[in-house]
Amino acid sequence: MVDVRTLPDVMQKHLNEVECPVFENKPWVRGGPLNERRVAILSSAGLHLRSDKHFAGGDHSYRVIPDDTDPDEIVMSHVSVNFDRTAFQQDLNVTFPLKHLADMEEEGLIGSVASNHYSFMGATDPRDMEDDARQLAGVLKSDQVDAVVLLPV
Amino acid sequence: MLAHYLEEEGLATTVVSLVRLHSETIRPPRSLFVPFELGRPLGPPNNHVLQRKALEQALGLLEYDDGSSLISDFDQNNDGTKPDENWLPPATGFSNLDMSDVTDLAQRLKNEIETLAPNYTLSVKTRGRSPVGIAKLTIDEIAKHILSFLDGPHELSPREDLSAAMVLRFSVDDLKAYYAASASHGGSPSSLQLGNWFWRDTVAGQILISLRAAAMDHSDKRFNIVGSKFLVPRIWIDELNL
Repeated sequence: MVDVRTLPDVMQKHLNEVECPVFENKPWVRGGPLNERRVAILSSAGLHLRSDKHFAGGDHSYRVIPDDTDPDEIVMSHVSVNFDRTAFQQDLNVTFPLKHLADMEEEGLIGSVASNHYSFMGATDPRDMEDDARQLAGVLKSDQVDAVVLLPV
Repeated sequence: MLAHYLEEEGLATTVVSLVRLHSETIRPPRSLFVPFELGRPLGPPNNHVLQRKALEQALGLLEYDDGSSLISDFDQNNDGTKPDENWLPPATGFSNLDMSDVTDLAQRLKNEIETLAPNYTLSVKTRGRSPVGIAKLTIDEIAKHILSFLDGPHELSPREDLSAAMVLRFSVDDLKAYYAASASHGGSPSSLQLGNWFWRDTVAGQILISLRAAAMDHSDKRFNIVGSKFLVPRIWIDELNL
């Protein structure tokens, strides 16, 4: 985990003061073994296709990234400059592991890879994303997805 | 929070967590804490073995069937911040800069970009992708647009669909991406190495620092926002005592 104490004071203050809700219910979905699951990526790195609309401040919508997308078509327009972008700039898989999922499917570690993956832009308050996230759940289920890995930045 | 919403809708989720405090409060159903920097949930670039381990451990939590919120720790200690001692930062045009001489700055930035061009081309070729492109301008147009703000804010946007300020934000992101892709080609510099090089040793870095100061002092509030939020990361504002 990030040791918040090692970050500059202003970052410590920001991370410590981020308002995190406490949910009263604890939803829990059971499923089969991993090698039978269909897996999708949900990033909050503000990723999208070059041809897609960029993310703006307060944007609570998501972008669709098909599984067969050429990695060169994926760009980032997250509004925050306060996380390391140099890793993404060198290697897409640190934030959006299309290659690793494909390899895991080929090796039989997961059942299959979803047809599409998705990205929100994490600088927006996630509570404002609730409607979009619930709508996205229906989209994922229509693709027979039964496992989602969430990758924040 | 997104995991909570998806799980309520009937989808099993697993989260890679970068800030323990947040996940301990929100308590997503399954989360894997990793020791990596913000921005790299699966670890350092080009270390596919470590990335795979993190992804496999996160996905493996889906087979946990207890029904109560699970917080697991990544079982590797490598946080990916080790510097590459063999990395040689590219030469730059940074020496005796006169930040008030915009004509000279423009020429030096142009020269620096041209010096990096071969590395950038090789980076795109070997990695199969470019991280540059949200401004939808050439690198020369990007440099020109950034430099145009050194004399203060204006409304002359090179794109019909975006304001000049928004194009400035995207141009700055693209310029940094161009430098990072170029400088990291052929090595594995840490984010700190790349940051030290960019913010201390490049003309581009000095221009962005100077632009930030100009924007923060200006009466135009939109320019203030761009200057304070979108040019220099907080960690470098702190590191450089800006």
